[in-house]
Order: sequence, then C-alpha cells, then structure tokens
Amino acid sequence: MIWLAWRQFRVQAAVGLFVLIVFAALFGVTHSHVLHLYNTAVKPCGKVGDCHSVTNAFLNHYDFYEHLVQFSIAAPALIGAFWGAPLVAREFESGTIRLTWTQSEMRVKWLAAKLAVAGAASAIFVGLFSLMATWWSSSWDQVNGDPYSTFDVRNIVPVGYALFAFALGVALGVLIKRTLPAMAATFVTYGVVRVFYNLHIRPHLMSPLTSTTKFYAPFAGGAGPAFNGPPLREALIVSNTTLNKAGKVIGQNGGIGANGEFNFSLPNKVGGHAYFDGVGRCPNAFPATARPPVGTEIHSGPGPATVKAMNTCINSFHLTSVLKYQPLDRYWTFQWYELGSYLILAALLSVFSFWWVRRR
Amino acid sequence: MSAVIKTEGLTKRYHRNVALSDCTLEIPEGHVVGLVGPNGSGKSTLLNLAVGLLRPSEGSIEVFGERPAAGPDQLRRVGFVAQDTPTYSGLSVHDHLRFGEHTNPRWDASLAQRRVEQLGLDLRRRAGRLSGGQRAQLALTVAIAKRPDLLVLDEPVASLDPLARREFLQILMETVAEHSVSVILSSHLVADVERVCDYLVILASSKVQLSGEVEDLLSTHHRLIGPRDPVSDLSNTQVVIESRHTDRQSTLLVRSDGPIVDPQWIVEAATLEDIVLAYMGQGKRSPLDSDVA
Amino acid sequence: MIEFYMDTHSGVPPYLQIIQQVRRALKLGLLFEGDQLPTVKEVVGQLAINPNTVSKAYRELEHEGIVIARTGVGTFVAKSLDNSSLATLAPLRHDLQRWMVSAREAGLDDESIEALIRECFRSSSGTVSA
Repeated sequence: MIWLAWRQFRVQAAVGLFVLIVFAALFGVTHSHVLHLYNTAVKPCGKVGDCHSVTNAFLNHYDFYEHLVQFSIAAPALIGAFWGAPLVAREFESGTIRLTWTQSEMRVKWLAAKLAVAGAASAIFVGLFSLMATWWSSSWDQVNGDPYSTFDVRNIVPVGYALFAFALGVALGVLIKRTLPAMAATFVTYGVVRVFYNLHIRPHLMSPLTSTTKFYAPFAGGAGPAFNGPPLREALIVSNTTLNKAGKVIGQNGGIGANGEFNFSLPNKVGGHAYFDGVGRCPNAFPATARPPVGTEIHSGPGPATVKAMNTCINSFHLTSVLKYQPLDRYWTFQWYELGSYLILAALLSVFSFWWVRRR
Repeated sequence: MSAVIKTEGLTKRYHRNVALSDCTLEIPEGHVVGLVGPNGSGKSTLLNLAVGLLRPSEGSIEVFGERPAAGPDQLRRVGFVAQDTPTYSGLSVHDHLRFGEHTNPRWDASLAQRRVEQLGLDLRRRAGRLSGGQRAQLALTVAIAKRPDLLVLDEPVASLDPLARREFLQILMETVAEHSVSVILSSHLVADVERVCDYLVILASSKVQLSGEVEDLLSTHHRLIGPRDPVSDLSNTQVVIESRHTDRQSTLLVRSDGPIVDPQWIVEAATLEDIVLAYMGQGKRSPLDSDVA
Repeated sequence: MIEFYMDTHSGVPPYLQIIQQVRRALKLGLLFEGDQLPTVKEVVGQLAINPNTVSKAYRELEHEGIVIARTGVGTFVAKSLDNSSLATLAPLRHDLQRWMVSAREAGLDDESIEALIRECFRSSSGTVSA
C-alpha cells in the first residue's frame, strides 16, 4: 500500500520539491547581500545616535523578500487544501475507491499508508521551508526586535500548522467526498481555527505578567515610553487597559475608548474647555490656527506649547495603564506548546478519519 | 451446494429512498448468475452490499458465510468490477498489475501477464488513454488475477460497443471454464444474460421478483394463447404472471410445475426475455433493451 | 477442427444446438472417428456462452456414445453415425435439387415447399425403420 500511496502522490511531491528549490534559490542568492548590508550599515550604528532611519531603511529594503517568507503563512493552508483534501475525496469522486477497497487489503491499512506518505511530506516540506526562512530572516529579526510579531512564520510551529491543515483536509475529504468543496471547507476551517487560537488561546498559554504604568497621552504622537524598550517592546501584549484615578476601567488597547480611541470634544470657539469622555475636562489650549475638526485623529499639528499644555492636563487626571503581557523568555515555551496543540488536533482528526472510513 | 451469497430481509435506504427492500436470496456457488432489472431497481446496491462498499440498513448479507469485507481473508475471495469499470487514469497498465500484486497475496502474475498479452494492451500506456473496452478488460484482468472464488460485476459491458462486449464475455467465460469461479453480473441486456447465465435474479421496484436456475425457469413458464373469454379457468397450481387481452384473444404468461393440457390454449415455451419482461412488469414498467447479437 | 456457432433466435436451447452441430458434422463427413472436439474453454472463449452448456452437450453426446471423454486429454469422436457414407449422399442430393427446381417451376413458394417436405417426412417416418 505504501507503494500505491507514493505512486499516487508523486506529482504533488514533485511540485512541492520544485517550490522548495525556487525558494532556496531566492533565499540563497539574497542572503549574503542582506548580511553584508546588516554588517556594514546597521550593526555599527548600534549605540551611536539615532539609528531609526538606518534600521527603517534596512527593514524597508527587504520588505519584498519578507513577504515571500510570509508564504509560510499560506503554505499550511495550501498543503491542507491541495495535499490533504484530495487524498481521499478524489478517489470517491473518480470512483477508484471501488477499485481500491475491494482488493485484499483492509481500508485502515490503505488510509494509514496514504496519511504516512503525504503527512511526512507535509511535515518535511514545511519544516525545511521554515528552517530556510528563519535562517534567512535572522538579521531582519535582529533589527525588528519583536519575535512575537513573527511567531507564526518562524521555527517549529509551522510544522504543527501543516500537519493540522493536512489532517483537517483529509478528514473533510473523507466526510464531504468531493474535492473542490473539501478544499474550500479546509481553507475556511483552517483560517477560523488559526485566528481563534491566535486571539484567544496563545495569549493565555501561561498566566500573563502584569505591568502598571502611568498613562501616556498620545499628543506627542506614537506610543508611550513604556513601549519603547524591554520588556514590553518584545512582549506579546495580552491586554492594555486604562484605569482612572479611582481604579475603574475606562479604556482598552491603550486608549480611553473601548477600541483604543482617544476622543475629546472641543467647543466651537477658541478657548473654553476640551472634554474627555468619562475622564474630565481640560482648558482648551488649541489656538485657532491649529484646531483639528471634530472627530479627527491627531497626527501632527498642535505646536509644542499646545502639546505641553494638553499633556500636563491629562497627567493631572492620574490615569494608569495596566498591561498584561507574555515576556520574551517564554517565546520557545510557547512555540512548543503551540506545536503540541496543533499536533494533538492533527492526531484527533486522523483518528476521526480512520473511524469514519471503517464505519462506511 | 453451499450458498455463495445469502441475504435475509436485506434493506438499504438512502435518506428517504429505499434502494433495496426486504431482499431474501440464497445464491448457490458454481454458477454464472444474472442480475436483471430496470434502472433504479437496486442491482448496483445489491452488488455493492455484497462487496462491502455499502452497509445494510436492515437485514443481513453473507458472502461465503461471512460479512462482506469483514477481513482480509474474506476480501481475498471476492473480485469486483464496479460500474464504469474504474481504473487509475494516471497509472499505466503495468502499474495496475503492480497495484494488484501489492494489494493481493493470491495474485497470479503469470495469469495477468498472459491476459494482457492476449488482449494486446500496451504495458506502458496510461489507463486514461485506453478505450472503454480496454479499460473494462484491464479492470477485469485485475479482478481475475486476484484468483477470487467469486467475481462480482456491476454492468461491466453497459457502455461498450458490441465487439468489446463480446470480447469481454469471451474472456469471462474462459475464466469460468478454467478456474470454476462463481460469477454474479448485473445487466440490462437479456441477450447477454441468456448466453452466459445459468441462474437468474430479477429485481424490480427494489424487490426480488424471481430467482432460480435458468433451466427450471424455462421449463416451468409457458406462453398461453387462447380465446378472450376462456371456457375454464386454469387450475390453482398454475399462476398467471402476466396477461394481455385484445377483443378476441388473450395471451398469458403462466408459471406451472406440470404440463398444461387444456385444449383451448395453444401452449408455447416462454423465452427468457418473456419471463424477464413479465416479472419486471410486476414492479415498474420500463423498456428492456433487446440486443441485436 | 469443428467450429461451433450459436443461433440465438432459433428457439433451440444452446446445448442442443451444439449436439445437433456435432451430429451434422459427422453426417456431412466433416468429423471422423478419433477427431478431437474443441475444449470447453476453447468453445466458450469463442462463443461467450456458459461453460455448463458445453459440458452438458458433451456429456449428452458421450451418453449417446458419439464421443468419448479422456480425462486430462480431451473429448474425441468415438464412432461415425449410420448412413453417413459420402457415396450415398451425392446422388440423393442431386435428386433433391432436381425436385426443388420442379417444385419452383410448378409455382410453389418457400412455405409450401417446406410444408410439403415436412408432411412427407412425417408420414414416412412411421413406415421406414430408423
């Protein structure tokens, strides 16, 4: 049965190998250049002066290639749809299931062989790709300095995603028995599970740590000093709530509104007060020339005197930010936990496929 | 003679539709069994149940005394060619033989080789490139080289031209002569059934209407032609299966164990086609193809 | 070797057709004592009919003493039928052909000729010893 499983999988394996080789070539060709750029421009910058322009230039330069690496976001879904879903569904559609299930081997053996061949290929393909991508991105990651932001496309979790997507595709194919609907269902289900896991499970794999800081007003543009350095810059933020002086929650995601907004209303004339919903009021320091229309966000505009006056008033409200986060040193633990979760899902889905096939 | 296929109250339902209803049969081994009936009468369903591709909704079916596909030993004894004779279109003829070899411990490689040579099939040609007749022969070769004790064929010649059909049946009969395999095949064509089958099962409206040895059926069924209003009725050992009337004449198909001596009737032997049509008419009326041999 | 054929529309059962064809071949001198009949496998491989049909025909012929089956070897013609000498057949055929010409000249159609022959045949079978 292994012979048959391999024989049927040959073409797909060849396509996978071709894709791997293309990416290997792309990565290989560009890697030394990336490294060179990093060593000559970025590394020396280090502690000296303002490195932002250098690092941003570096990050932007290789943005295109970084998108290629994002292929590993899509790869597991593609594997699930193109290698997993048709595995059994196509045999039902073409009728060859009636040929294969009436030879002398039991169906369980047949399915085991197919799962072993294509499953191993999936793990190897994505494993190799992830290896290449992680290796290639090492200098980029150094500069970016935020490992959790690329959690999905580095190191070992992609293998878990691939095996999960594969097992999902097979199970849906066994259930639906038609290739195209099974492929579509695989894409959708895979997407839903991954998004759900990212939003609701990964942040809580271990109890998050808490950091309480002074609320930083956004009039200066950008995030507050709390985010500029460790441990929070490299952390996985689980929640960012804003509390008022009495300790009541008045905002989420670093703002004063439920969606992280920072709304205030100004009177129609110069002078008067600026009202912050649920917080209080400040004297309106906006001169006529720098008044933003009602409801717009502040990017740049108010002059330094206005900013200073508004900030001083905001600080007088004594708001605090409570951040729940997962620190960087938990990164690898999380990789293993997440890999484990998806492997367990893959195993459960495979058991289901065996059971369903026997039952029919 | 032991039964090769035994069913009891066998019923198969798909959602609301009843494909096969309360089917009780005992088919002896060592025969070539013809399964006839109109479309949708349950022929395919019965055969798929026999090879374990379907599970009964109610009742039971046993092949060689075991549940179909119960284990490798049972699977080994039954060869199947499904409707439209599925083959792996991407695999060559040679690969199909390797497939058979890898998945069947009783595989007879020399038999497979001989058959392929006899058929003139190119070993390297992919199955998707073969004609319909050649694909059917390939599927049959795989089923035969497995050396089963029972061959189950679901309308194997339905979409073949007359020459391909004849060649298929020739090889099938040769196999039966050489290896004494039991065969059950479903067909639309009474002419084919007449040629090759010595046991008949008639399905109509998802029920078994008749089953028995062809010889017995032919000797116990008669065509009677007589006046519109017969003077005397037939005795109660004689069952009228079908009757047709004009203003002057009645034509009956009658089943009777003994001879019919009533002088007002002209008694003729019923042909197998008459019998099949009459019993099929007991369920749904549907035209049966008469093959021009 | 003799080659069989099937007439599916004749109403005659297949096994009987085989028996008839063997007997006819013997009468016409196409088969002689010691000739081998085709194997069951060969016959069904050519005609696509049930092997039991052929077996039954061969068994019947063996029962009548016309053929003999030698296990492992085949089925052979055991003896010739009576009155099958070629010499006596030719003049009879000649007479019959002449009669046919006369009958047609007299205006008889196919059915009438057949009916006439059958009637004479029937009435004669009672008087001449078989």
